[in-house]
Amino acid sequence: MGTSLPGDDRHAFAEALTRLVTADTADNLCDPFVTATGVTGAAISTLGKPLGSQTVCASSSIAARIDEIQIDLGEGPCWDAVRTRRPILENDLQRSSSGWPATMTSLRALHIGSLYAFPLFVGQLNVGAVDLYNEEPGRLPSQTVQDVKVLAEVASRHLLRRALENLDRVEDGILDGPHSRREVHQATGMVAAQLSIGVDDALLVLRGRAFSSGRTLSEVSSDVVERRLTFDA
Amino acid sequence: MSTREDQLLQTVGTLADSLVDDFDIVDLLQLLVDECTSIFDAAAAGILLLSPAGDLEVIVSTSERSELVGLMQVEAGEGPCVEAVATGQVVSVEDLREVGGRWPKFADDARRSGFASLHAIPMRLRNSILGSLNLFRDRPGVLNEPDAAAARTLTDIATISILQQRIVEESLTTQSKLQHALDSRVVIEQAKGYIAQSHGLDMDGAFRLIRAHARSTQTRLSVVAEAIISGSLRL
Repeated sequence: MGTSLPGDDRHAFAEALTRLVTADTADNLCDPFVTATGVTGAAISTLGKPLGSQTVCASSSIAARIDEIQIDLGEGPCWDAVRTRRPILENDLQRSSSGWPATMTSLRALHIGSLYAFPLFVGQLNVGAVDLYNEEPGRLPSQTVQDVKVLAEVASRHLLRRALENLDRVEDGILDGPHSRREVHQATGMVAAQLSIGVDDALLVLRGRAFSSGRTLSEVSSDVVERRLTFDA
Repeated sequence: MSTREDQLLQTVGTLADSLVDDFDIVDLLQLLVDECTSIFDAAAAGILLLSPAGDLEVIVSTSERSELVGLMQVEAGEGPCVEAVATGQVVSVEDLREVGGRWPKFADDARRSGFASLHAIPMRLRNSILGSLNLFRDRPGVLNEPDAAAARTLTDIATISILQQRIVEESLTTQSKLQHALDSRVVIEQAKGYIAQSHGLDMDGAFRLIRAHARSTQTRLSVVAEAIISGSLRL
């Protein structure tokens, strides 16, 4: 990057980088990725240990859905990006022969062309992933891939810092937000009590119901918490 | 686009690369002061960093001349460079001849060195102040607004790089703390759901019951929650 010729696109990158560096809330972390790369949309989620799986921001409802599908099913490009610490570039999602059959079926139903997942991490510590998508299939230019890696580093730091700042707020429970997974955990506890089973099994019951009814884990959990849905032993 | 702007963008790019690749922090900061003198037409530049013990140290400068190091007033503990660190605010001195009343030793030294103006930018990210980037110029005047903004951006990115390296060093203890926090949060929400179901309460009511038990037994909330969902505690 330091050796490439500056041009208008470098301006867009420099501006996006500056906005990301100076972002003061997690809500506006997605936007710089969209403006720097020109993709249709972006979503950022923390994934797995130690930060927990939750979408942090999404530039559109489709972007939010892309991450929700992968978090619900626990598989997909963003998880592979975290595991391999490399970008997973699905240039043509509708024709891709990648694994994750359940995830692919749900993602293809969104009618998007391509999906690019980049890992977020700081040192040894896994943070999550940023998912970028385009309506049309196509490759990301190599300069763009490099730019996203840089932006991802800054976003990773933001998310880690936020998590560290919230360390002493553990007793308040899960932080709320538009993509909070809090109801999933509450519903898990309720189902554990309803069926007299452990919480790990209760979560499997919820996942199974979501999958078999074609709904999201959040929707099913909400029904349980609102007592519209009960599981009987 | 002007050559100067090219140079600025290239410096942004080089600093940004340091976020991805392995880098030596002193090399990176040396590059920053070298580039800054050229981009912002400064006669000299230097960076002060706070040590973990809280002492200020000159970590890099464009000149090893003793007067420049002395000018950053580490030993005297006074002057605009130190003030930028102490306050977290940019300190801009348009004419160093006019600050004799405020920082007499600094003003004397600066005049002897032939510097006429100074721009001190704190290296700061929210509540953390790491040090300051100091630009010395040999004629009076302030940095114009675009230059001041560009200098702040370069400083911000360098600050992120330093903080990132420090976090990497601490990441193993960080990991276990974060893991504990996550486990606690999840388990508290699950226990709320469990009690809401078994006692016919709403989530707030369930949380009050759990918290009351934690307080009366002086037990941590996450420990009580864990006992509830594992079935070893019945409220």
